[in-house]
Amino acid sequence: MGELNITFQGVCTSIFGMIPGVPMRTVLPDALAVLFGQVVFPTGLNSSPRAVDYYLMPHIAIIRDKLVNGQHYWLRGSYLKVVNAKPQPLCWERGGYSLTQFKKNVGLSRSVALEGRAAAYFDILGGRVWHEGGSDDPVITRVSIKTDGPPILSITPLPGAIQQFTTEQVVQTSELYVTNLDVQASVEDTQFDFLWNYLVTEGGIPNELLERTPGMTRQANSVTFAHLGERMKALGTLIETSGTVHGWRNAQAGGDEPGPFLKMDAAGGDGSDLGTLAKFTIDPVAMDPSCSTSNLP
Amino acid sequence: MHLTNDLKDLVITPHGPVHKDCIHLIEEGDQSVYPVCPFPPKDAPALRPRGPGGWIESATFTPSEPLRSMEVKFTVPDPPDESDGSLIYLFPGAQDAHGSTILQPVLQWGSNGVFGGSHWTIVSWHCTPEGQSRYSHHHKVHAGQTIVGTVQVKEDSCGPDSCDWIVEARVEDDPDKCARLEVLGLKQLLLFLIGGALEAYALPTGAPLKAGQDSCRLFPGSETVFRDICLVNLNCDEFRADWGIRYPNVCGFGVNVSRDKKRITLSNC
Repeated sequence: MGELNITFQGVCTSIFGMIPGVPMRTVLPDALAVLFGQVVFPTGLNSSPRAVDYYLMPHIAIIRDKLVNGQHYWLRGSYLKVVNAKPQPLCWERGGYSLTQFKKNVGLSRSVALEGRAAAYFDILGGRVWHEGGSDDPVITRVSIKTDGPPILSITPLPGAIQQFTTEQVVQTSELYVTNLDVQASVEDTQFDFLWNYLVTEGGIPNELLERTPGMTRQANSVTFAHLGERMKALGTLIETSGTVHGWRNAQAGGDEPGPFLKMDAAGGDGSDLGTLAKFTIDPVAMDPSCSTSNLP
Repeated sequence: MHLTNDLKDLVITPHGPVHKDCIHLIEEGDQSVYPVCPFPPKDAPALRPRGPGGWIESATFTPSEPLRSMEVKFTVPDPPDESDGSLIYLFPGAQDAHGSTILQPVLQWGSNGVFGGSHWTIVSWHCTPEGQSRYSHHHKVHAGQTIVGTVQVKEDSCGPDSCDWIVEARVEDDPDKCARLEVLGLKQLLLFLIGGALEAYALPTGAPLKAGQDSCRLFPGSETVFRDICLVNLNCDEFRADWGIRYPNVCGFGVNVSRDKKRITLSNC
C-alpha cells in the first residue's frame, strides 16, 4: 500500500460536496492577470466602512514533487486526480477560511468551477483532509490519500485548455505540492491576495466584504499608480531576464536594457516567457496570511 | 544558552534552520564549491524564515532594475532585557527574485549553535539555492556602535552568466572589525531588497519567537535605525526604494520609513 500527501498553498479553493460525484474539488483559478480594483470593508462598530484601491499581481499554478529542488510542472488548464487511490471515505477536519465568511450569498461560478476555465482542478474522492496555519500564518490545506502501490497522478487537459498534455506519473516522493503563488517574493500587494480565491464564485472578486480577508490590516492603504507602475516594471524585468545574469545579458544584447554594465561579454541563449518564469517562482511556501487557501462552503 | 538536543544537528541561520554539515566558514580567497545540501528543509515552516513572512518586521522593496550595490548604516541597539533567551538577527540584504539565495550583513544576538552568545556579533552570510550556507569570520560589537553593511558587485567581476559579490559588515570607526565575505559566481540577479529586518528565535528551543507582551524582554532593548541607505542598480544609476513595511499588530512594534526613504526605524516592545 502507498500514500500520497498533498499540500495546497496559495490561491486554491476546495469545494466540498457541491459538485455531483466529487466530494472535494480543489480549484486553482487562473490568476495570471494583473488586476486593479476597489474594495470596501468594515472597520469597526462605530466607524464607517473604508474603501481602498488595490492591485493583484499574477500568480502561477505549479505542482512539484519536493519542497525544494523537486520537479516542476506548470498547470495551464490541467485536470489532476490520483488514479490508484484506494476506496476510502473523505474525512474533512473542518477549518481554514470559508469564502462565505467574507461575502454574502456566495455561489459557484459555473465556468470556473465546473466548465474548466481555471489553471487546474484536483478532484479528490477520498482521504483525510485538514488545514494548518492561521492567525499570523497562511492557511494551507493538506490531504492524505491511501493508494494501491506507489501513488500515480494523472494529468489531462481541461476543456478548452491550450496545453493538450496527458500523462500518468508515479509520484516517487509520495509528496505533492500544489501551489498558486506570486512569482516574486515581494510583499507590497499581499494584503489583498486572498481576493483571488473569489474567482471561483459567481460574480468574481467582490467589491464589498463582510470582514477583512486574511492578511488585510485595518490600516490597509490604497495603492498609487506610481506604486503599481514600479511593480509592473519589476515583473517585466523578471520576465525579461528570468532573474539571471545570463538573461540580463541577453536583454542587453537585444537592446532591451541600456547596458553594458561593467564588463560586457558576448551573450546568447534563448529568450524568456511565462513558461520559463514558472521555473523561477518562489519556493512553495505561502508567506502571508493573505496567501491562504479557502473552502466552499 | 545553546540549542536543545532536538536541534543539535541544526544551525539557526538568518535564512532558517540548516544542517550543520551545510554551514561553512569561508576564509578570504576560499573558492570551494559545495553540492546540494543532502539535508533539505523538512517542511514548509522551515522555509518561512527565508522571506518576510518568517521575519518579525521588515522594510522590503522589489526594484525594477537589478541591484549593483547597497550600503546601509545601522546602530547596534541595547541588549535584550533578558540576555539569555533569544537569538536575534538584524540585517539589511538582497535576495534573488524567488528568495532562494540571500546576501546579508548581519548583527546577531545569542548563539546560533555555532557562534555567538549573550553579546552582539557582526557576521556576513550567503545562503544559497543549493541549501548551503556560507559565513564570514565574526566580530563582537557593542551597543551604540555604527555598523556599515554593504552588498555590492565586485568590480569588473561580471561574466556572461554570473557576477562576484562582496558582503560586508564592519564597524564604522574600527577597520579591524570587518566581517567580509566574497561570493563568487552568483548566477541570480538580486531583485528583492531588504532595507532592514528583525528575525528572532526563542532559545533553547529554536522556535520562531512570536511578538507579544510576554516576549518583550527577549527583543532588542531599543529600536534599530537603518540609515543613509544608498542603492545603485546594475546600470550604475542610483535609485530610491519605496519600502513596503510589515510588522505585527502588537503594541510597541512598528516600522517607520522617512520621507526620503533613506532611513528605516524598526521598533519593538
